[in-house]
Amino acid sequence: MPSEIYSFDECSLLHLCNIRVPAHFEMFVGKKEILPRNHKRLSNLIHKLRTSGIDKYRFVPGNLEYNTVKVMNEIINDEGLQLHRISIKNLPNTFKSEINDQLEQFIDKITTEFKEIEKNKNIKAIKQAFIDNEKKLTREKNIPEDDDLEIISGYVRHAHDGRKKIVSEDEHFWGYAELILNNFDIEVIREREC
Amino acid sequence: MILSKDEAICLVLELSRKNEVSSPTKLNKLLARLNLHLIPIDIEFRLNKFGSFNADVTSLEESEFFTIQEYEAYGKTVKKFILKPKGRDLAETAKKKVNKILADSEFESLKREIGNLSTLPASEISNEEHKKLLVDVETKFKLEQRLNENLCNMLDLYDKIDTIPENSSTEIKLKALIEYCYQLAKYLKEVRFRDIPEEYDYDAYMFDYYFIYIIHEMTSFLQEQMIAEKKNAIKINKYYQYMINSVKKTYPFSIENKDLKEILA
Repeated sequence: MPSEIYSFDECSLLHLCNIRVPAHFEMFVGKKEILPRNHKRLSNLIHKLRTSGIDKYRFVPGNLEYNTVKVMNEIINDEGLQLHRISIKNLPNTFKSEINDQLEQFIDKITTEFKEIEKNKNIKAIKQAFIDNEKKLTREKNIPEDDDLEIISGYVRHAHDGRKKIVSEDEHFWGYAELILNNFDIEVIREREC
Repeated sequence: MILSKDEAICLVLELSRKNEVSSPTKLNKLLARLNLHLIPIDIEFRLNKFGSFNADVTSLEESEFFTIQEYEAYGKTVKKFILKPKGRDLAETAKKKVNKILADSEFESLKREIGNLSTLPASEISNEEHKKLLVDVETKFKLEQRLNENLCNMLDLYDKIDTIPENSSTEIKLKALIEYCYQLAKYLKEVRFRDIPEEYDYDAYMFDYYFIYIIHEMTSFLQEQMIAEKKNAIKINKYYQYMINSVKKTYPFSIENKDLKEILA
């Protein structure tokens, strides 16, 4: 029996999506397909887990509205697309919305492949651990958001004898990897290192 | 989001009385009716004198999803379409898709409507379609008015588009919908219907008329949603999916048309 399980935060799941560029927009994207950051690494990991029979998890309820917008903006920035400079005739808002829509539909398609772990609202003690060991983060606010803490709390409650791993590119996780491992016995794997 | 041809047929059969439709003409009309509920389907209709029509639906072959039975009526052999168990599963898939664009009450109303229409003769189903869509030559004046009105309304909305924040998918969709419909209204008035034919257009393209109708129908909703604190996500998604995703390469005003830029120039 495999002794480890992998879980993914919602943004990492969204990074698995291949964005198909509708024909009209190809001229300013310069390609037919956009792959979100760390797509290849994540796809390889998913393939490896599939073939090894290792369970994959996601956290519910999701925060899809927030996370799709976050990943959509990330994609636009990573691709260096200056949509505000594109004329109305080229439908810049429609392009953004199409990326967003594809991300939403992608999550619907892949959810069956992932088992679910319920987030847990009981986060008081977990939050205190972060406050007591506050670090200065470079990209995010120092203390993780409640949604991140609910993920940790839900994962802690999830019964499993072997190693629990979480894949995320959120600094609230990898920035506190040591604390999360020592206090909650969860190994954080940064997307770009997976 | 778009329903495949099989998904749309299975959904219509599932909602029809006894899960069957008694003729290809009736199936055509019931499928076309999904457009009036803004459900994008992968079937393109022409509007002939008798309403929306797609020749491929008339020549459908039996499949794993539905069976075709022949029977005699008024001295003619007619084909009847009956849902198979596998078709029922596909109808469920279609329903899941439709749930993202229709509120529960709207789906119930669609269910009742298709159920009732499936009991009527085909000739009675699309009586009102031409009148609603302003297809006939006699309504040319109204069509011109409608085109002008749509463009003015959409321009007003487009002018205020920057007041909508982009904090959620729904807000992003609302902005996209306004932008897209403004450009579409412009295309319909200045390009597609620049010269409205004097004669009845026997080869009228369904989406031209449906888009004019829907832009008109949704204007007040968009005005209301621009300032609403809590947006109606399902309805915005319904309009968005229909306007943007119901047409593919074959319709000139489509994001799937690589030459769209030239049309808009």
